[in-house]
Amino acid sequence: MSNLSMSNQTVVENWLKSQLAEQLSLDADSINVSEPLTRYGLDSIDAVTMVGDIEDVIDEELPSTLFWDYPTIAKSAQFLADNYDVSALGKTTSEPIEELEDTAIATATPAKTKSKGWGGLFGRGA
Amino acid sequence: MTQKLTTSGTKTEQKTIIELLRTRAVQQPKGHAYTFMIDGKKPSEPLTYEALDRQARAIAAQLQQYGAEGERALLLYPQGLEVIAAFCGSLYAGVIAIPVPPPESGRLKRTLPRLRSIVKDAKATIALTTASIFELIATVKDEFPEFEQMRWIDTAQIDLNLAQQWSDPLVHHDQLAYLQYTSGSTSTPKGVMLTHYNLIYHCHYLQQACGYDRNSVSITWMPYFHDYGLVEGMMVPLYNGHPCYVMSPFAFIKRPLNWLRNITNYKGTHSQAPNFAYDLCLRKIKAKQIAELDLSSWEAAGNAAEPINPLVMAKFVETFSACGFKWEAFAPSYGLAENTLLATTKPKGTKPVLLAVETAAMERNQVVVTDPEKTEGVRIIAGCGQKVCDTEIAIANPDTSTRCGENEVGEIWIKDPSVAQGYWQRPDVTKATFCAYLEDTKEGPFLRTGDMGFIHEGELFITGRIKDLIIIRGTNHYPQDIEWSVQELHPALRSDYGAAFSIEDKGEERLVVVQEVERRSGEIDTEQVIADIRQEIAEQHEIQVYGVVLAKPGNILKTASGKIQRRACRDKFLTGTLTTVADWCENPEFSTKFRSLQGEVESLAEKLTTSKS
Repeated sequence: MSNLSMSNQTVVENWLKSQLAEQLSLDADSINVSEPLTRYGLDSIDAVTMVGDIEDVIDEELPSTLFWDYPTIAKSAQFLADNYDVSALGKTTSEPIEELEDTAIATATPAKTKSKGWGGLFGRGA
Repeated sequence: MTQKLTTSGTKTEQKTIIELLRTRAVQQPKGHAYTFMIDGKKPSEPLTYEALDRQARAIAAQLQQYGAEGERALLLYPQGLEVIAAFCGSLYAGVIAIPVPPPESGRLKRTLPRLRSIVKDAKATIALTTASIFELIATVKDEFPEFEQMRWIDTAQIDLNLAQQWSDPLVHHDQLAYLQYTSGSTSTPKGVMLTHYNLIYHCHYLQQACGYDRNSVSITWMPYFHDYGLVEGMMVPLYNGHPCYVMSPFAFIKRPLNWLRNITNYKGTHSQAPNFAYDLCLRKIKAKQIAELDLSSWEAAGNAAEPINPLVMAKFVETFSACGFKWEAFAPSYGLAENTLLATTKPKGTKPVLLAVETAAMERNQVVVTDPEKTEGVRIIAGCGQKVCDTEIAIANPDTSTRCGENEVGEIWIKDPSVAQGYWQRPDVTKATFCAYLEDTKEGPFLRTGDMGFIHEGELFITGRIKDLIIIRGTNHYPQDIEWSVQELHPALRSDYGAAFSIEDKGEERLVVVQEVERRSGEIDTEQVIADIRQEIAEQHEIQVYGVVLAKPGNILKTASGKIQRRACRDKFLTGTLTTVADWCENPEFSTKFRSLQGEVESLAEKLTTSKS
């Protein structure tokens, strides 16, 4: 790693800030890393969802309870930086590793789009 | 004990889960009962009927040594196979099981008060649990005075050889099997009393109504302490005799893909979840991941436990039809713990029913069917399917207790052997809820669900609730619990002058809190108070607040008997007629600032049009 200007902890903090900002429609700059995450209205389902988002990027299994055990951005970032290779969080902002790896599956079927509103979903039939 | 056990898809002769599992253990000892998916993806060793029966007998024998028959035992476990053995073990000993959410480190603030009030309400004397949960609770035993009086049993430590000492208590099927604490507020929890007969009768119902057969495979991540998880998720597979793959709810929420991958890998036919779960899949699963899924085996995607958003269903099928998910697979259902589980469900193989009704008529409790493509004044409601087997449903006027007309919205009343025996040691509430009679015909007794709806061409539609209950992400919240935790935050917040209610935004239920501020409170930092309220609600109730209004006194109206009129307050919020001190809302359209701006624009526009004419 050549970019040592930012500590791993700061990398994680920034990533978490932008993620939280996106999830809760907040301004990232308004988030204080030492405030409890619940202060920003993060509920239990969103908290666990965010653990999954980190897993996707760093490709590691993390405890679901991470944000209860480490309830601020500063604390959880420190835990992550101390225990895992978090460099991937600095590389990409939101593109999960999994996606970058398997570009081979280019034939992925895109979701069908239906423009006719409720289209064929109305009406009954066996 | 009756020894006849028929194959999947037909009714068994057994009258209790004890008889059922005992017979399975004898007739299909190596049959695959359950597999736990570690971290949501790695399968554990399969648990056979023989092994489950042995574990259950050992646990029961231990309970019998303590003379526990008739006592109440908490089940406190992480999601998994241990809790299934503990549930069966309790039943084997004639002990009344109470499946409850396990406390977790870092969330004790939310889980402990409720756990304590359940222990007190049920007079639970035993807790079946794991070593780590026991240690966690031991750290807060000072705040848990009942802790010392209870007997804590780490079931992993029970010697399996004890199984030989088990003696069948010959439980009568009318005896209580478990208490389901899904209703009632934190302060006054209500334990729904379910008998062995309720459970086995209802399993048979679901086997028929949800189309389980010899080829069925269940995948479940719904928690064991929720009726949807316990009854359809875990007990129906045992009843029908097909394998069940159990995941932790966390493994699903962390990575919704895990759920759909397991359905793909194990060719799951039946899997259930509340509306939010289907939405979460849409938001989290990437197009590329969809390509590796195959959901064509999924015959019944149960959708219940919270209001169903038809748009989420439509988007789900649009997105996942690429990997074989069929519209016919969706199985919207309606139920409640007071009826063991489901009262209606969509029959297998048929299309879910969506109905377009006029909103204006709906507000007057009238059903007027209209064109779904209309852009205004139309509400699309997802049907919750048809009556489960012989379930009797009446739509009744909640005030007069008379049967409603055909196109009239009323309270949903249920009469069926699946209906529970009432609430544990609450005769008054039991009478009010479980013993309703139709005034005109004297039919009854019915269970009053508190939910409003109507039946159209045999299909049940839910339109709302009489009670002010707030259901967010499948969890019931009682407004007074939320109001009280808000009022404890700051002396300027008037006690008993707050209203918590939900509003619908983009098809989702969202929480709004209106709280009066004392007139003589002087200067308060309203921004700080609003932030405190949001934090407190996130921590205590685990809900993200959508809007907070600090209002001037006089906004919260009460009935003559002193009950808060939450509906009236909600209407004022929606129409922007509250007099506010300060407010905040995720959707700025509901904030005062936006409204005054909008008002100015409107009055300007009005002036322009009037001057023109």
